[in-house]
Amino acid sequence: MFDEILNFIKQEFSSVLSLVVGVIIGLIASPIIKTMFKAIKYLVALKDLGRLEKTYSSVLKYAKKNLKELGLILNKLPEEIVVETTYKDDVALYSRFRAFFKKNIVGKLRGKEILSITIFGNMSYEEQIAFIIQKAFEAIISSEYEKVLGVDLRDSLVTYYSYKFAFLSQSLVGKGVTLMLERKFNEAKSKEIILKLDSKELEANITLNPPPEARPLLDRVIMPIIELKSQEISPINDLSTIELTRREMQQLLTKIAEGKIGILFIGSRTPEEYLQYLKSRIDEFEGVLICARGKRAILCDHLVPEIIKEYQGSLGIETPSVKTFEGTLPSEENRLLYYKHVLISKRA
Amino acid sequence: MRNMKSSIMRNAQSSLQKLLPVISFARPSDVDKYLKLYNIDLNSGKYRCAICGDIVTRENIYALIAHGSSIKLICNKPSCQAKFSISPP
Repeated sequence: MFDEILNFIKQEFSSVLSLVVGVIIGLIASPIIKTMFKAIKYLVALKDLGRLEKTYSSVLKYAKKNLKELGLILNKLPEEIVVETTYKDDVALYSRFRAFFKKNIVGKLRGKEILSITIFGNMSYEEQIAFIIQKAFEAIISSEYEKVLGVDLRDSLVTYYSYKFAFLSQSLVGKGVTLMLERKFNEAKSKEIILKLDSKELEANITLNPPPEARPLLDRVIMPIIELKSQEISPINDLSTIELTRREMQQLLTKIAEGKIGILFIGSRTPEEYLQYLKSRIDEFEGVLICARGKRAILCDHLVPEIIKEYQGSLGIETPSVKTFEGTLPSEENRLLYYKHVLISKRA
Repeated sequence: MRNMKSSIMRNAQSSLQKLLPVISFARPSDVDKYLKLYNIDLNSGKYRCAICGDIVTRENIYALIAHGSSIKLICNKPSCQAKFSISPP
């Protein structure tokens, strides 16, 4: 009887003891689990906020490398952005400490003025990344070229460069963002023209110089021409002149994309050699675009009257149309170089 | 000539690079929180879209831009959303 009572007490005591130990462990472990959960959430927030910021600076880096002739615009843009709050799957992600540190310590120390921008909308996290990419390219391409390019061409260029950047930076932005921007570009009205201008095939077909140059014309020739024309027309506010400029630029880009304009790059060869390149294919095209930069612009000036004579002589065009796009643009190592592009065509 | 060229580059660099855009993505349900933060009363009807000039309400607000003491609002018309820039000129 006594043993039974003793066993009962032992059993009860052990179960109470295990309960007490469980409660104590629970009390200790619960804040640890909570803290760990908070720490993981905080790290995820830091990663996602940082990814949006890195996307913006990567767009600028990409543009500085591939569109260096637009350096005057690129140098005007803020070098970086800070993302204070984002949301992902209905969860708001932010870090007060991080935002305070970036705004008030890093920003102020570097003499920056804070511009707080809040955007309201039901965007997914991927849509927010795509938004940052598109807005960065809009700032580079769209806002400055309003007077030179029609809205369709500008929008198509923005969506094309956004898609191209996302495609090349897929490890940063993710496949979902690339597909999203690809879908947008597929809806762009001037998609075909831009794809052709950025194809090596077109470059190989219409360049009068002998190979091996095989770099698409979009970055190398088209964007510098647009930038030069934009510089020329920026003080003009007359609507009819702006409309005429847009129409002429649209026509020029369309003709180049259709392979109707030949391209002649002026390099280190003799004027006779360049004239020979031209003569051998002059009847294939409606016109020729001569591209020179730096000291080679002088050679271009010598060649233009000769080419006009060629048009008048062998093709019987009395007054070929001559249009010049010239000015200084940033080149390698952020140096300014003089660019000269002369378009000579059969029809005025 | 070289000095002139580098001064062009410096002038171009000096303007907007001083700005540090601090971006917050917020859900439409958070509009009141942000309006309170910036002490904005949209019921007064005095806030207009910085792009199209239309009156901005709780229902059509798209973006809020604060630079020092100046506050600009943008409405959610597609044309205004398209013109809105995160790197303002």
